[in-house]
Amino acid sequence: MFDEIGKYVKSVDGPDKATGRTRFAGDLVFPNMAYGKVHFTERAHAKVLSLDVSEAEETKGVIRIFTAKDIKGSNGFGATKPHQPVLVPVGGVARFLGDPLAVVVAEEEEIAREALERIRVEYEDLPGVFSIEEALRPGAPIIHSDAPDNICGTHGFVLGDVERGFRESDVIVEELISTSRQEHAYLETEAAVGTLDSQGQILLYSCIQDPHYFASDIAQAVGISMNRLRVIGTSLGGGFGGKDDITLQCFVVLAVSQLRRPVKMVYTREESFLSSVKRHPMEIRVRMGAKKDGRLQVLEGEILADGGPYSGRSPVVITVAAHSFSGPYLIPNLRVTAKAVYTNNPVGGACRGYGQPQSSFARELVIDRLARTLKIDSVELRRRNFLKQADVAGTRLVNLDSSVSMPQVLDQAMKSAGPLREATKPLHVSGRGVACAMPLFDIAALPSLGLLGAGVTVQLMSDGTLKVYSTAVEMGQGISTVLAQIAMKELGLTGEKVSIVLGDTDVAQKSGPTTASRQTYVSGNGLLMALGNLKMRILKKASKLVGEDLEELEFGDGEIVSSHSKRRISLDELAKKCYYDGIDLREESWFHATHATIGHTFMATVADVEVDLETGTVLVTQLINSHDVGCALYPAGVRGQLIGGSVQSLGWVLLEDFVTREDCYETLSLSEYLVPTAMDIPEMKTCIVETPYPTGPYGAKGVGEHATVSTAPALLNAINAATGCFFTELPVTAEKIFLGIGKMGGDRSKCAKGGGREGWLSFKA
Amino acid sequence: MKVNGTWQTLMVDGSSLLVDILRDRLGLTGTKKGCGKGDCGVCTVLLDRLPVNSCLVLAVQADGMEILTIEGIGEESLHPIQRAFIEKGAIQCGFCTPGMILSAKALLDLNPTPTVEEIRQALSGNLCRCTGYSQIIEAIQSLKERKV
Repeated sequence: MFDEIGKYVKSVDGPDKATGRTRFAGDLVFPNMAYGKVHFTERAHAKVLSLDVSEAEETKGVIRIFTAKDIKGSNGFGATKPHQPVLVPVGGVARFLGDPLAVVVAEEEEIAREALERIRVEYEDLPGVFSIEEALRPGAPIIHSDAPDNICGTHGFVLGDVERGFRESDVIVEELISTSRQEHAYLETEAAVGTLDSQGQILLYSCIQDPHYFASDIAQAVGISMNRLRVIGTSLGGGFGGKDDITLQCFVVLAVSQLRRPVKMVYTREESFLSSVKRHPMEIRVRMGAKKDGRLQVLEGEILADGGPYSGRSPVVITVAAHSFSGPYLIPNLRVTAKAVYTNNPVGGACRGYGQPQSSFARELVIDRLARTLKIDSVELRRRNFLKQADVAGTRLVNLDSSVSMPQVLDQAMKSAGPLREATKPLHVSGRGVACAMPLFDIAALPSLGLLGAGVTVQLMSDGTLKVYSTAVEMGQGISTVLAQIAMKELGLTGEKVSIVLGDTDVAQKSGPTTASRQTYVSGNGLLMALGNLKMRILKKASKLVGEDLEELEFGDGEIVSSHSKRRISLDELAKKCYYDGIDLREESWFHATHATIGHTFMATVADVEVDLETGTVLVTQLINSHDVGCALYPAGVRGQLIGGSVQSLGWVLLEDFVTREDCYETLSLSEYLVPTAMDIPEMKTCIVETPYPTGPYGAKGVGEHATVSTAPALLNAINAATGCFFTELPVTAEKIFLGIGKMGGDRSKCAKGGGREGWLSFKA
Repeated sequence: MKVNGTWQTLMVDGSSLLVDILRDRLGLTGTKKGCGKGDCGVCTVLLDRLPVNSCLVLAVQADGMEILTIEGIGEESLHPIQRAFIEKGAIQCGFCTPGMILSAKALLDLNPTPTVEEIRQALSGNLCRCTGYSQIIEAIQSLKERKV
């Protein structure tokens, strides 16, 4: 049998990507195609008094300028509340600098861009709020009249008796941890191309993470019926959660529906950074209490998130942050409150890890703080508190239905790390940081976002090849390879006989979003179900054709074989017979995530750094990511997710900060918003632990987001261990480190000798 | 200009960028656009064997020069660099891949046995947001012993 599960197979999308043949949305062209450009508001919070497009409309080559007046639908979208305007109407309010007012459609992109400059807008400025603190201040300007307190979502829960937990603790530590606004910085900017198919239906190609959700939200916002809209999610040039929300897709559908000709829009890097969602900046107050021996007694967290001006995914992101707060530890008394607030900053959205990186970051920093206070090794402290299988996890929603492999995961990471390397230069100090996490996957139990399951359709074609249809999205994470591996194994087919067809709402069922590290689990299971049904029908047909009992037949390489008589029929022959007999070998499945909980994984990161005390620069020397993924169906993909996620997190800690001011954003290019380059990465090691998950396909769980959950705290713990400072605010730039070390007493040579490591100063630059 | 081994005669606007001519006029969409400012490297092509950001080059500047895009290497079968990228898991979303492969080719053409430091240097103008670079560096290292 072609059993490639767990083998280092090549990705199915690799050859087309290596040769540049993969067509991304921005590569598509159609005859008579027009181009659209958006006019964004120039004010962060202002009422739009007038919008004059007459001069712009007269520009030669301009076809039409669309404003809110042209929209027949609700003109609002959003995952939790459809109140984000497609286009802000005259009389309406622009609530952040990425709010769009008008769309120019012209014969050429350059003409559309020129015409933008001739659009005249009059505003009445409104007082704005630009931080969590400002939003919560009594008497703060109100961003939405239905939320006079500027709260867009809250979540909280209590476990045990928190007050008693603090009373019974020998040591209590308290810290305020804050994280920065991370831009996804996918290299492919937002792009959409709309056209009409031969029957006049609107066909939208776009780089999106959930084609069916987009189709439904676009249709209601723009005001077209869903039976006239077909959405095809193209290969994604990076997503990381940032392409799970609508950006320019509504404009293209609006323009195509009214102009009845193809329209294309591609955001520039600046437009992408200006208008797209970001990782929520959070301020997290943590109080943690423990016995002298390190046994954790109590954990309290107050999570505040800057959600920007629209609800978007904020209420869910803070819920995930809250439920992942206590991580892989047994903490009997737990209280978490989480709030997302409205501000006039960029919209907070899904970003790889979905609230978990922030809350795990806060917890893991404070655990190191506690270890230092108790004079217990921080790794040992973690080990003493790991959850065991029968325990009730502090996440409350998680049912620990499989063994907790946290000790093995951490052991492997430590073993792989070896001893910490001494600093290589004078006035350099080295340090190691460790962090553990219990990252979630397939958060089906959380408020419904269509994450409850996935449908997969399979069809054995009349020549014996197989097509698998799904609206899962390939963004390089490897879902097409995983689905192909499963199909090959189950039907005994070679790779070239299996095609994975992704993203088309007209041919495939809902797969839910390709987010939450969920597709291997849900679509993998969905595919197994569909193939199970297909196999049964194939065997029944084979039984008639070869004249053997059903029970005697089994799948071989591309054929059905009788185990006792060795009589056989090839799949090609059987498929052809079915075709002529009018039998359609097509099966649809729906995998419903009936576990009604959240899947959980176990993850540890070890980070080694060397800090230059004279400049504050950090050289990360190695990053080890160890993860129990249940079963690594596609190990190269698992490794890719671990390393890639870890490096993205390295950027979040050391470099990345989307800097906003009231009237402009300061980091609208990749030379201002810095992401890691090949020069910035350390030696990367991965350890894959496999404890089969009972309900996973072949025991598999998820992996996509998880390295972002434990990398950041491990890195900062390493920097804190090396310098003796206690940095609590991201990003930790060289400047902050330099100043932080200075505050420790100014004598850098003493610090290098370890003098500075004695005191732990909480420090905010 | 000679594009992927074939001489092309084109009338272009003085302000046209090489990346737009390649993509829009010649249909060579393997060359991507990511920033328009030379920050990200997804538009990397080889101009007389050297890597350039084609978003920073005017099409007229390429007059009489030789251009190699991703479509010009490994047309019949995969080029060894392409094979190494696939085998080592150096490709995820694929958006940086054409530029990365061309930067790698420029490096290996000049220096068939680069050190890891030299590989990092050569790739430092090509951003990748998915892979974390490790596998890309491994792929190029794996070619050191082979004749490319």
